[in-house]
Amino acid sequence: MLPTTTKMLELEIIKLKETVGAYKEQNAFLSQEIVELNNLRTNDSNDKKRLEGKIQELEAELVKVQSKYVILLKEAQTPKHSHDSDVVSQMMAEAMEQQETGKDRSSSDTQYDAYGFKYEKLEADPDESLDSYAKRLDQAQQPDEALASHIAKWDHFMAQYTGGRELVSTAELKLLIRGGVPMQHRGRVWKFCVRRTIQNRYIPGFYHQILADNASKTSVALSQIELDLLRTLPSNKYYNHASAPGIAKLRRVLVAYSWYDSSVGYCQGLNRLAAIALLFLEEEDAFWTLVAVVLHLLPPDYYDLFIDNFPIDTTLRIWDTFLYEGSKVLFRYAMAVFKENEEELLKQENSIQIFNKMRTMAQRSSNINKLTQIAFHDPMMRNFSKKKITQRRDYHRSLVQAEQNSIEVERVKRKHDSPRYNDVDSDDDDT
Amino acid sequence: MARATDKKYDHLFQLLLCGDSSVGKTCLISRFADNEFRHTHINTIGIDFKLKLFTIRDKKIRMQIWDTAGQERYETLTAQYYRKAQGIILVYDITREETFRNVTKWLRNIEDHGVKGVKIILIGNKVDLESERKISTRHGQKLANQHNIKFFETSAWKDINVTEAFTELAEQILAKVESGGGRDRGSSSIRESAIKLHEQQPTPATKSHGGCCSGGSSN
Repeated sequence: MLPTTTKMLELEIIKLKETVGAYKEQNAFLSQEIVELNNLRTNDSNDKKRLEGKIQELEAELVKVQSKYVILLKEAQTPKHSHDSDVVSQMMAEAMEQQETGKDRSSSDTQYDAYGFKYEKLEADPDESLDSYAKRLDQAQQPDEALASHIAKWDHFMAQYTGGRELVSTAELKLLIRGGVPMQHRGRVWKFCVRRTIQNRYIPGFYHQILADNASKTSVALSQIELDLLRTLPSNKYYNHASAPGIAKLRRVLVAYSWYDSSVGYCQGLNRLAAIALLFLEEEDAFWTLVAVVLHLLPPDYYDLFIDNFPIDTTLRIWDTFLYEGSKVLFRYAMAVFKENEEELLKQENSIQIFNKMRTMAQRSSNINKLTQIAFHDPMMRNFSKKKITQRRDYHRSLVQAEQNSIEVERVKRKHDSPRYNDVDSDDDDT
Repeated sequence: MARATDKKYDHLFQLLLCGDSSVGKTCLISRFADNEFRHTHINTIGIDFKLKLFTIRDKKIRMQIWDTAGQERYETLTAQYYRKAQGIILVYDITREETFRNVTKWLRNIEDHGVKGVKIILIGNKVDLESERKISTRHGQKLANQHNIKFFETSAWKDINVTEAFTELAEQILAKVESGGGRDRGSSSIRESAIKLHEQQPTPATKSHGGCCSGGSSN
């Protein structure tokens, strides 16, 4: 009896062991299933998030399109002039063209910004606080709804001037310009500002004529121009090598100006003005821009216009307003930068520190809307009437002139009693 | 915030670079001050500067290096800086003859506007362009000898002789400052401009001016 019972129990154990093995296998299989299903679930939820993001983007896009569409509809409902009937189709064509160029840009020119400047990442400066860097990054990434609405306003405004009609100076235009001219309208608006400034100096065909008339001549100005062409906007793809598309145009514009204004000829600094103008204007209009800036808009011997100090977007925004309102704008923006950095500046202890600080504060002035706000609406600005600015300029110019005269007097004196002279103290107290 | 001036230094030297347009003044300064060379950079308008802290014989020297525009039009502006400089580096381009011919003109400018006894170094730059050389080393050296100044041939691009040239100039100024001036009154003014100071202390020089940017009013 006993041995058979033992045998049966042994058999039972073997069976049970087999069952355990089977369960183990099943368990392993199910665990694997769970892991796989979990993966699938994660993938799905990621997909969902991505699609939701896409939907949001598209909805935002839709709102933009809708608002433009409404403007277009309004425009179409109340045609102001009979030949406006094709406004809609024209604007549609323009919009499509813009979309096309937009696509091109994103696919092939990824390393350049919309103006052709090499794209530079926002990088923290070693002496910049993390907080300030974070703010700048934040600013750069914010999708700008206000900007979209501003552009829509511009589109609406410009719709009045289709079919080659001339722009007209109005209070509305002035305000729009202060808010910044969108890239697609900048060429037209700048051209208008320039022609408005130079008035009857403008002669059609003159630009090409003056180049042709002087084609065989050489001058000191011409050789200096050659030295500067590649040192103008070297980080911009239109000007970064000798055969880049902007270089030949830049040369012709500067050469034409040197013949036109023989008292200035060519002055370093004009190259950058012309290069910026050529980003948005035809050669001929870039030439007249130099005429407007040098002969009408700027105080004498002042050709820099903040070009390498501010970020390019800021520079262009200042240009927009400057071309329409003149040199007081430069003063206002300069004061705005000082105001925005008042606290920091007052901490500096000497002229070299101030100089350095000014350089970095201009480079970081990317919030042009805030600067514009200060430049045109800060109560401080009430103290700077055009008359007062002119007075102060004249006063300080006379001081500089006096200093120059004293240097000259001393120079002559020194030549006379050469070995022993009383040299002026070099006032170089750097602390 | 890290401020360069938090560091202490023994001497403050003001140097200036002059010479024709496009001879490489800005590149020489970038090489010396930042050990950097850019094939493309923008032309200097008016005046610019860089700072460099530098040690010679255990003395910490803070250098203010003024960079000037080479175009003749800016001469009245840049001349104002000549009289503040204790050392001037005059640069020509060995591949462009006219820049060498103009060295005499620049020397005259320095004589006219600079402090008497100002230390001058002559640099023939761009020796990396040997195949395009127009001015021989012998010619450059001869001109330097005539005017009793030191001469270097450099390449800002290949980093040849740049530090050596700046060091030589700094040595000369330091020697002059440490010798306590010299024979003429010109050098006493140099001593004053080489204000020996530690940061945060008021100027220990004989004269002290009010503000640093009071412009012409203090004269």
